[in-house]
Amino acid sequence: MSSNRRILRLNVNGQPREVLARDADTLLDVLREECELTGTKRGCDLGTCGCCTVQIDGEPVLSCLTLAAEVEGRDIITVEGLRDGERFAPLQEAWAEAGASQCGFCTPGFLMAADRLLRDNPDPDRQEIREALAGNLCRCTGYVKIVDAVERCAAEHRAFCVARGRTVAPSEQV
Amino acid sequence: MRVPDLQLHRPTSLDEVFAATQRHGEYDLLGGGTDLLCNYKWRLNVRPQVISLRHLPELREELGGALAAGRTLYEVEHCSILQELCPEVPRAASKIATPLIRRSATLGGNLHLDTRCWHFNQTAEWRMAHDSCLKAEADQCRVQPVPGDVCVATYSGDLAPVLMGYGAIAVVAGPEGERSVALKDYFALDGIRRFADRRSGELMVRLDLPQDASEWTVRYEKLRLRATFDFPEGGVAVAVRWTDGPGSEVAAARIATTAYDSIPRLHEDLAARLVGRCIEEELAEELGASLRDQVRPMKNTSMSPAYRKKMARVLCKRAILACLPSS
Repeated sequence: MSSNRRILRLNVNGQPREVLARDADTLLDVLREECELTGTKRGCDLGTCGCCTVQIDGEPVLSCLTLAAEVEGRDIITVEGLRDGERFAPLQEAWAEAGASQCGFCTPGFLMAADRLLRDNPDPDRQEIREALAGNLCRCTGYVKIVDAVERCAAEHRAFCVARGRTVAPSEQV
Repeated sequence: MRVPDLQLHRPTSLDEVFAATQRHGEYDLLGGGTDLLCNYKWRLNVRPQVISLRHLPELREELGGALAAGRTLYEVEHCSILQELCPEVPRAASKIATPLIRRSATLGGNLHLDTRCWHFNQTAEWRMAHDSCLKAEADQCRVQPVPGDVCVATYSGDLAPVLMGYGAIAVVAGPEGERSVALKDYFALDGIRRFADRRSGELMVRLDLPQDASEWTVRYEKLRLRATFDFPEGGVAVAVRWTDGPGSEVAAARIATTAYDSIPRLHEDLAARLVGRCIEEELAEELGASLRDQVRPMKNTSMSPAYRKKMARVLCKRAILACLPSS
């Protein structure tokens, strides 16, 4: 069968992109190979490991099991879109400070899932963090420090809000 | 792994779906994609035409007395109306796969989960090296190799037994209109055919819950290796309606299993033995033992059939006792 292709108009990290893609291409294929956003990792490619997690309209989604043609016109955020200009996001800073990356391959997926968790629940306990990240695997098994990093980010965010005397979204904490 | 070439259709109404299904003989319906696309990547029964159900408002109606088939498992898990009306449905949804998969996977997709087998859910290379299986490229089942055999791949959906417990009715739409089928009669005991009386171009649009759904106490127990991700290796749902408030005599009961057959199965004979009695440990033990004797798990999942069979007793007993208010 000849391959069915179409021009897709995607909105990636706030930037409009036009890419030529097969109907069968997953969002992961398009992000890595057409948009050259290689922060999103191809792990198991079957939805098991969570390395390919991105956010679509704010929801964490497995890009390896999402056809790119299905998300035309929706807001896609990859790990490259987490940072604010030259500054890392507070969650990324917390990851570095807690030593939550070993080989680092799973880190983008964890960051995208954890970012959503903290927006839904800015004060999660360790069990809630573990449950929210249950779809992400770290083959280096560095889970304790990953949970530490999310906890640290949440605590810093709370302190930031107290200092400012108001509640702000974690992404606004710069 | 690349998804093999296909043509994707993105209809925005049921009429467009029916037009596409009539135009194309060989097609698959795409819900969340967390089951179908994995199979496609492993070159399992790939169809040239794929019809997406993501853009159909009919499949996205608000959850409540009716459960729209296109709602995600995450939405089912967090729906406050369902938590009131049929709390075991969101609870069972929360036990499916992982939080990330539940964001995409749909209620309809979980009910239509393709049957699974050790000899089927493998890469193309693995299947070539092992003569494949009846459900893929071969002409004989590797689990139960007898002439004229049917596929014994295991049904692994978690929601079907729970919804059967509530007495859910599947509403399917087709070119000739809508029809309703009790969920217990929806499936066919064949891992390839899978659905009874499926007519050309039909798809499930929603599940209706009966008026008395909130009067039933339902509990679901699931056997799996890990506390996340895994498909059930056995699952038992027990539903009871009390005569005179929680913990009193049982007025009506249903017991349903998953992951023991190619279909989710209602065990009406066992449930009848609960009726007119109060739940006690001895009764739960007795029914659990009977269920263990009834189920016939095949050697086609990670755990041994002997263990899964033994655990049917445990799961059933736990689910019955969990119906009691003190639990």
